[in-house]
Amino acid sequence: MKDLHFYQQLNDETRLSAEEEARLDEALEATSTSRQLLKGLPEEAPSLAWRSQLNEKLLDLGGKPKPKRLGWRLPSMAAGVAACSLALFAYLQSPTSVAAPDSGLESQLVAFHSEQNSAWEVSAIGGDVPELTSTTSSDSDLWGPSELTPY
Amino acid sequence: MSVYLGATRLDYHPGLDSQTDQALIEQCRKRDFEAFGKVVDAYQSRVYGFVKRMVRDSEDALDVTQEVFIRAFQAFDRFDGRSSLRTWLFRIAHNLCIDRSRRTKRQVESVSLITQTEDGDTAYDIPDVRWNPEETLIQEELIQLTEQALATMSEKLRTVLLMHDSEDLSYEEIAQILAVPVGTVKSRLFLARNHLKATIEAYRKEGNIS
Repeated sequence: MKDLHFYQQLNDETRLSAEEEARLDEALEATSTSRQLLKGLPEEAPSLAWRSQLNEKLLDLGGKPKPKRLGWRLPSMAAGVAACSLALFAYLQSPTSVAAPDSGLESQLVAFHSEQNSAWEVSAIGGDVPELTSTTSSDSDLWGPSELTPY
Repeated sequence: MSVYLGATRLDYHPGLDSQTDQALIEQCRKRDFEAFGKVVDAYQSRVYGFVKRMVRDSEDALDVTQEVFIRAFQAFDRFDGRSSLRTWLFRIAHNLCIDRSRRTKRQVESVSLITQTEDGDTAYDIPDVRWNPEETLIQEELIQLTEQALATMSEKLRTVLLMHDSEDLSYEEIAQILAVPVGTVKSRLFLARNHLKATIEAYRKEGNIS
């Protein structure tokens, strides 16, 4: 009858006396081998497809994936930027012909100056050659009239 | 991963330690997807194992387990850290299992431990000696019988048995999850273990084992 009363109390979840509590603790200790049974049950993990589906749902809910880490890309990017800067610097420092503006007074002046230079080189400088400008020469004085007479 | 009977798992605690928990919790509160992924990795198998034995259907269990993590992700900013992350996840899992059970109206017919003797008296099975089921049954049978016992016990008893004996939650943690006194947890655990024992004993008496 003692067992009946005890069981009834456990089923009804009524408050136990100190003595009954001690008895329950003792009974729990005696049945603790059931842990091994429960822990021995095969475990099963959800599949990767299940996990992917969960990830999609979480992202839809507003999960913020971390930005990808730069890792090794950062030094590469820095080297690239440095190389570009160097190339640009070298380009800017190289001697280059200055192109005249396409239109305006300055371009007209430049064009006029160029034409004048060309004309001077072709005509004026050519006329200044001494053989052409001087009618007398020390060499021609050596020839006599007979030698100058045509045959 | 499958672990079978005989291979002691008493010290087997997959999951996260409390320090890692704390670091992850802070990140999860900020809705850090990667940090929450680590929480899922750490607890998905345990939560799924619990839910599967509660709802007794693999497909439903997968859905409910997903729902557990979705709810946790949504409610992380309200997680106050008074309980452990594991306890909190199992509370969500338990609530969802109860909700689902109410929706499906699936009632579990529990097997009474009280049996009638030949002279009409009622016999009660209060164990007074240590019970060693492994001495008499082979592992596969024990697995089957344990699953059978879980399936036939009431939801209340099953919850406590799984949380305590499978998931190693303390009496206090279980009491907190179920919002019942610690004494009630102990009572239910005792009744659940007795149900398990009765199932195995009945199988043995039927002569199914040598």
